[in-house]
Amino acid sequence: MNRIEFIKSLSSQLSYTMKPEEVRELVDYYDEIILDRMEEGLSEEEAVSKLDTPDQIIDAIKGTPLEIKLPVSKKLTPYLFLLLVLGFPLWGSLALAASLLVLSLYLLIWCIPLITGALAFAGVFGGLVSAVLSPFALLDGFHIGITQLGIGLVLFGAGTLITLLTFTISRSVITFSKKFSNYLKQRLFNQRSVLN
Amino acid sequence: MTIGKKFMIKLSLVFIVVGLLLSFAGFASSGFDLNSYTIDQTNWYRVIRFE
Repeated sequence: MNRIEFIKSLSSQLSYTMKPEEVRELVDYYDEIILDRMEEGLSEEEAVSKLDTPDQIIDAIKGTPLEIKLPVSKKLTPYLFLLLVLGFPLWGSLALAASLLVLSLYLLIWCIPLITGALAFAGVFGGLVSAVLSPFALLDGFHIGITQLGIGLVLFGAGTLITLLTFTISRSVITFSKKFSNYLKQRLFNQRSVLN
Repeated sequence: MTIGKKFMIKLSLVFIVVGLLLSFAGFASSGFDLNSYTIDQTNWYRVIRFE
């Protein structure tokens, strides 16, 4: 079974028992798992075969309590407003610290592909320059030109390898950033629901 | 012909190995003498310099 067949089968079976938005959430979840496994090098069929079948998934979620929305007033009453203003020095600084912490985490993670990218650029560019200028270096001595060409090729090869590594790392970092952002979004904005 | 990741890795490794061999050949042809590289080493086209 390929990915599309799996998703079609799962969504059509789920639609009898769940709300459309819940079906979409669950289907997105399984689709993301399949795509992650394909990124790791599995074929589409292999990635799908490692999951439970749609029937097994339906059986597993039977009886699972659904989330219910509690009625929460979103009105900003004068008291609440006053409380928010008076409490701003506390919650404002905490919120700022938390957001800066998250920002520093993103910066820290993105430093890795940035460093490998800089190394890749230095390798490829330095290698090209070294190899292109090696005929001139031959004028100073045969051994100098040959050594410069050799070092240029080594640098270019290493730079290309690091470029590939940068692409791989960037892909992982993008996936992680997306997942972490979704996790944060869910934690921050989906707090107003409880399990039945 | 599509250029895949594996092909690029092999090509990079070939570049590195050929480069190392050439560098060794160059260094050997100098008689393994580092001082021979210091002549005119401030020329604009020289990438290998020994301070």
